[in-house]
Amino acid sequence: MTSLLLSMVARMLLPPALLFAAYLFFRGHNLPGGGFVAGLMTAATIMLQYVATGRARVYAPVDARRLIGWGLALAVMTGIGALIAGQPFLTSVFGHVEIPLLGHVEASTASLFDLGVFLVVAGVTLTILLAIED
Amino acid sequence: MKLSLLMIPVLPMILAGLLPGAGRLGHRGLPLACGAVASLTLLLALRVAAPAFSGHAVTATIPWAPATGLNLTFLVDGLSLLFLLLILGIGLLIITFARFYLSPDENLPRFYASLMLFMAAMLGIVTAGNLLLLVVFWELTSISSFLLIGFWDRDPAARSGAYQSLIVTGIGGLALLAGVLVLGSAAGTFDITALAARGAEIRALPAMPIALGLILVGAFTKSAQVPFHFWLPSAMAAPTPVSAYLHSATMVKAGIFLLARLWPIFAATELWFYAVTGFGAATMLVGGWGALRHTDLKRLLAYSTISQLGLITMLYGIGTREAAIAATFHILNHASFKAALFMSAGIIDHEAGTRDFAQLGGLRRHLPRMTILVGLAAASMAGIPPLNGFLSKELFYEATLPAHMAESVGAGLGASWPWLLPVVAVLGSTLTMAYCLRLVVGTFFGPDGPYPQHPHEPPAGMRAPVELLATFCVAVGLLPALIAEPLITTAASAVVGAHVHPHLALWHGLNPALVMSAIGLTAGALLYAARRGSARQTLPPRLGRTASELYDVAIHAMMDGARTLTNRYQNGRLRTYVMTILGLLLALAGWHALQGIWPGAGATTPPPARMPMTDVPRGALVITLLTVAGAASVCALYRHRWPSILALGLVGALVAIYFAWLSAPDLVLTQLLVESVTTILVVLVLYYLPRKTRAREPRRRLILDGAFALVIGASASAVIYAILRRPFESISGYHIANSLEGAGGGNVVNVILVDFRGYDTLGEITVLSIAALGVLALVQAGRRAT
Repeated sequence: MTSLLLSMVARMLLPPALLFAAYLFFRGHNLPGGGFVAGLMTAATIMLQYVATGRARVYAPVDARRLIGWGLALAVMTGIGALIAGQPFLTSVFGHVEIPLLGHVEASTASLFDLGVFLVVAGVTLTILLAIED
Repeated sequence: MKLSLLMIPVLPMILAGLLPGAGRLGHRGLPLACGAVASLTLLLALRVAAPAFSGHAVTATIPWAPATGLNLTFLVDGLSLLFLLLILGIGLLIITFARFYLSPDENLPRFYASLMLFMAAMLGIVTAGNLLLLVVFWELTSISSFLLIGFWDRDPAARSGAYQSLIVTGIGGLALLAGVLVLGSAAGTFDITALAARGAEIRALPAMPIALGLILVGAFTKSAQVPFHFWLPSAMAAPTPVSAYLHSATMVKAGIFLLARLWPIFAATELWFYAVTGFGAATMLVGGWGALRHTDLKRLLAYSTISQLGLITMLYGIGTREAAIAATFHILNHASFKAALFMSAGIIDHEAGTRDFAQLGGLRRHLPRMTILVGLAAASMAGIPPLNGFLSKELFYEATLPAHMAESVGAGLGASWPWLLPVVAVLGSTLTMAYCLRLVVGTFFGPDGPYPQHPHEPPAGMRAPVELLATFCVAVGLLPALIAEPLITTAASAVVGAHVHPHLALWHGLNPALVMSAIGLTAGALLYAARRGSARQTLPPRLGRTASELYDVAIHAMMDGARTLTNRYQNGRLRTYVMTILGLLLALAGWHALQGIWPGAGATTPPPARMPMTDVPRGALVITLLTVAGAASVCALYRHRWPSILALGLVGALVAIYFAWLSAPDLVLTQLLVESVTTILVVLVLYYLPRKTRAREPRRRLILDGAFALVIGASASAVIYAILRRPFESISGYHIANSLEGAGGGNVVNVILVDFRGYDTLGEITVLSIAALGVLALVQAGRRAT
C-alpha cells in the first residue's frame, strides 16, 4: 500500500525534518523546543518513512535500544558529574563562551542532560516502532 | 585525602566494570590485573588509614542527597583497618589460589569481575560512615555473592544455593534497611560517628527495640546465625576460591562487622545482651553439631564456620570490653585458619577428585605437606596451644566467667546462673575439637580411600597461600604481642569507643580459662573417639526438622499463593485491567472528595474560597463539546477501529489548540507530536488486530461497561474541576524569576524540565525506558506465541 507520491515526498522531507529536530533541540533552552520534543520529532520523521515506504529499519541506522541505554547513562552521568565536582546530584552549571562565527554561545550541563532526554525519547519511540515493524 | 578514601571501594569497582571485556588477558593476565588493583588498593588503604593506628578516625563526606540525610560519608577507624587488611590481604591470596585452581576454559572474565565487585562492596561496607550508604554496599555484597555462588550455572545445586543465599540475605537486607530507617529517623541522623556519640540518648528512644530487632535480623542473616544459618552450607556449591573468600573472611563477617560497628550504641541494652548472646550461643552449638553430621569436606567447614561465627556473635553480645577484645581478635584468627582450611579443601578436591569422607582417608602418604598445613590450621581452630586460635579461645573463656560479666547488663544472669555461659562455651569447644579431629583424621589418616584420581602434591602456587596463612597462625600464636597486638588494640579500641590495652600472651598462668580449655579439648577428643568406630557409616541424629526444609516449604507456599493470586487478576482480558486500574483510582479520588465534603470523614478545615474559572468564548466551548461528544459516539457506536482512533486524535488536536490559546507554545508542540506519534503507533498495532470489534456483546455487559465509563468520566471531570478551582500560591513566579539568572535558560518550561525538576525528569525517562522494554518483551512474546 505504498504510494509513489507519498514515498517521494517523505524522502524529500527527511533531511529538513531531521534538521528541524536538531533546531528544536538547540533552541530549547531559550525558546520553545528541547530534548523531549526534538526526540519526538526525530521519531515522527522516521515513522513517516515507515508509513510511506514500509521500511523503518533502513532509516534508523543505530540500534534504538542502545539509544535508550546511552541516553539514560548520559543523564545519570550529568548528575554524577555534579557529585564529583562536590555539588549535590544533578546540580547544573552553565557558562558563556564566544565561538568564532557563531558568536555568543551558552554552554551548560543541563544541555547534556537534555541530550540524554532526547536520546531516551527517540530511542523509546523507535524501539516500539521497530518492534512492531519486525 | 577525601578522594583517596573514596577510591578504596571505587578502584576494584572500576576494574570489575572493565573485566567483562578483558577476556583477551587470559587465565594468567586476569588474576594478575586483579592482584595489581588489590595491591594498589591495599597500599592506598594503608596510606589513608595511617592516622587510625594512633586512634584517630579518618572521615570524608561528599554530599549526595543531603536533604534526606544520605551522604557519601566514609569512615576509616581501627575496626575498618582490621577488615580492610582482611579483605585485601586474604583477597590477594584468593586471587593467587584461583589462578591455579580454575581451569582456563571457565568463563574467567565473569568470575574475576564478580570477585572484584564483591571485594569493592565489602570494602564499601567497612569504610561506610553513613548507615544508608552501608546498606547500599550491603545489598551489593548480596548480589555479587549470588553471582559468585552460582558461577557454575549449569549445576542445579549451584543455582539453588545461589538463590537461597540471595533470598535469605536479601530478606535480611530489607530488615536492615527498615531498621536503619527507624533508627535514623528517630535519632535524626544516619551518620555513624554522630550516632555513636549519642549512644545513651538512642538507647532511651522508644523506637530503639524495633530498630535494633530489625538490624539484628539483617546481621544474623548475613552472618549465618540460627535460624538463618542454612544458606551457608547450600552455598558450598560455589567454586572453592569463592567459599574460601566469602565464607571465611568477608561476606559472613559483614554481619559481625555490623555488630561491632553498633556495639557502642546498643551493647548496653538488655535486648542486645539476650538476643545477641543467645542467638550466638545457639548458633555455635547448632553449627558444631552440624559439622559432625556431614560427610562432605566443604559442608563440614561450612558448619564449622557457622559455629565460629556464633562464637564471635556471642562475644559481642556479652557487652563487656574483654569480650569485645576477644571477639575482635577471633575475627582475625578465624579468617586466617578458615581461609587456609577452605583452600586446602579445594586442593584435596582438586588432587583426589573428591571431598566426600567416604572416599577420603590416608592422604598423609600422598600429600605429606598438606597434612601438616591442614593439621596446623585445624589445631588452631580447635584451640590447641601454641596457635593463634588458642589465644582467642582463652580470652573467650575468660569473658564468659561471672567475674568478668559483673559490669555487663547480663550481670543478673551471671549472678543467678553463673555456670550457664561457661558450660555453653566448653560445650562449643568440645564440638569444635571433635569436628577438627574428624576433619584431619578422616582426610589424612587411616587406610587409603577409593580416590577417583591418584592424588599428588599440588602446584607450589596453589599451596603458597595456605602455607602463608598457616605460618601466620603459628607466628601469631608464638609472638602475639609483636604481630597481632598493635592491630587488635587499634581495632578493639575503635569497637568499644575507648582506648583499651589487650594483653595477648601465650601463657596467662594457671587460671580457670586454661582449665576450661583442657576440659574442652579432652571432652572433644573423647567424643570423637567414642564415635570413631562408626565414623564413616552412622551420623549423629538430626535435630528435628531442619531450617532448610522449612525454607523450602515457605518458598513453595509463597510461589503457589502468588500463582493463584496472579491467575485471578491477570486473566488476560484488557477490560479487567482497565476496570481494576480505573476503579482503584475512583476509590482513591472518592475517598479524598469525601474528606473534603463530609466533615465526619476527617475534614478539619472549612472549604476554602474558590478560584474563578478562566473565561472561554461560548463558541469555542460549543465546538469543544461537540467534538468530544462526536468522538465518543464514533468510538462507542462504530465497529471499525480506524475511525475511532482518528476521532480520538482529533480531540487531542483540540487540546493543542487550547494550549495555543492559553499561550503555551511548548505544550502545543509536545501535545501535537505526542498525539501524532501515538496515533501512528496505535494504527500500526491495529494491523495485528481484527478489523472490526466484536459484533455482539451481551446487553448486560454493555450496560455495565457504559455505566462504569460514565461514572469514571464524571469523576474525572469533577476532580479536574475541583483542582482547577482550588486557590493556591503559584510557584511559577519563582521559576520565571530564576530561570535566566540561576540556570541560564530563557525557556522556563525547558529549564524546569532539565534543571529545577531534573530529578523528576530523570525518573520519568527511566519509567519511559522500562515501558519500552516492556512493550518490546510483549511484542516479541506475542510473536513467538503465534
